[in-house]
Amino acid sequence: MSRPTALIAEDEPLMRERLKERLAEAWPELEIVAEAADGDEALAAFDAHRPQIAFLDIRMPGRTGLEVAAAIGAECHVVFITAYDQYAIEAFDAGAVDYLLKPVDAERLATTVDRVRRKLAAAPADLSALLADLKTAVRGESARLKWI
Amino acid sequence: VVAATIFAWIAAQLPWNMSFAEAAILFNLIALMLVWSGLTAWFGYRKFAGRLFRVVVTGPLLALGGGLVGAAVAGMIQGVDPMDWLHDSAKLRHVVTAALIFGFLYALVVALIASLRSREYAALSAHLEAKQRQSELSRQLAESRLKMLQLQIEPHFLFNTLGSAQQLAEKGAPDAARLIADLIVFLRASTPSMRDESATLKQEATLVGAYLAIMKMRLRRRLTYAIDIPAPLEARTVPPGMVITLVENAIKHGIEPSAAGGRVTVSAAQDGEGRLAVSVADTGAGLGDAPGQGIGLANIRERLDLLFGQGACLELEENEPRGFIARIVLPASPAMPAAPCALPNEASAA
Repeated sequence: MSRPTALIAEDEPLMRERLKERLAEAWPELEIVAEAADGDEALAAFDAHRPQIAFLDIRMPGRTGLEVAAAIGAECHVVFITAYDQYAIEAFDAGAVDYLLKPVDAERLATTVDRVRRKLAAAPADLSALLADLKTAVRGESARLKWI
Repeated sequence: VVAATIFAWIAAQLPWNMSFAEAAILFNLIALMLVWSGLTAWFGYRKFAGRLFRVVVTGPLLALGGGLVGAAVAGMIQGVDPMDWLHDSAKLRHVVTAALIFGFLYALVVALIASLRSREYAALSAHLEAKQRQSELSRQLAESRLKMLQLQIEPHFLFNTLGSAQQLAEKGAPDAARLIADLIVFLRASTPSMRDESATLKQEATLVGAYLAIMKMRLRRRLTYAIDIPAPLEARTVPPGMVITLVENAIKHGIEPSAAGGRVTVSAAQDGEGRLAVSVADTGAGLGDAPGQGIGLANIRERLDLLFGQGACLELEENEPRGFIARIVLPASPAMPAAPCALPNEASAA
């Protein structure tokens, strides 16, 4: 089996470096195929490299991590990294596999790696199917509202 | 009119020695009087407040007097002795009865309506007063909450900075100690200074310097900065926490959202009248993010207004070619408010 691939999107160089080093320890066979310093760069890097996993900072210049996840979440496993947990609910709404608080500690990262590994065995979270479901649900709702 | 006509017809049937025409006139007069007194009481109820007893007593008395005078005038017109009613007990009884009925009806209507309206008015004013007290209370609550917010260091800032320091420390980089030293300066300067009434420009510049040094370490080439406070102005006092709020805004809304980053320049200048202007300019993302509406800026405006009234202001304008300039203008001294603060860029700030 080939090595799993990942993208890291984080605007602060030191934090990016830190996550990369921690990941190298927690998951030596993981290959970081691309790094991005903002949301748009992350999207371009995803298109160029098609990694299986994306580690996304939530607060980034340009597109936020949540917006990037909305665009690529159907095609890869998303792990959010943020300094403060005010976005937790939105993150899981966006279909995240996990949600890491910065600065990332080794023990917590090991849990994340476990989760992602298990998910990798299954298919990526299919956001588009979920969206289609939601759309039908909303359509039903509006018909009922019209009837009222 | 219908009711008055019906009453008149009934009265004409009764053995009151009254023709239908007389009764019709009488009952129409009663109806008119009731309407008039009702309207007076409805619109002028405040005139009657506290003197309802007087109305109840004087109303019938005045009506009685009026009735007697009317009877005398009627006697004169008919060529009878004007004091005829004095000698005729039946006529006297009629006049007195009619006057008292009119008087009491008038007083009753006025008293009822006026007291109802007064009670309504009292309830309304009590309600308004309670509402005003409530809004005053919630304003004070919001103010104290704002003060709490001021004292808070943003968790994003703190955790990202500590994470960067940790990363540097693990690599054994000498930058780690410098980053932590700057963080210590920032934390020490930001917490107690907010509680002080005023700070010197030098103290504020130290705080801003520590903050920008930290952000420079984290954002690397995305941030350049300069702090230019002329030495003679370092001792000037400024309300604490304002300059750092503007610098934090410049980073948060100008530099951080921009992938290319930009430059932050903090400068101070004094005009001929001793007015002090402290400017924070950035060349970052600019007005797209609408930073003019931030809680921080509204808070600065409110504090400047409370401290200096018209003598101080916060000016906001777009920077060339990109970015944003925020400028606080303070009077020479709070005791001697200068001319109203000029707002040359009010339109672009709004």
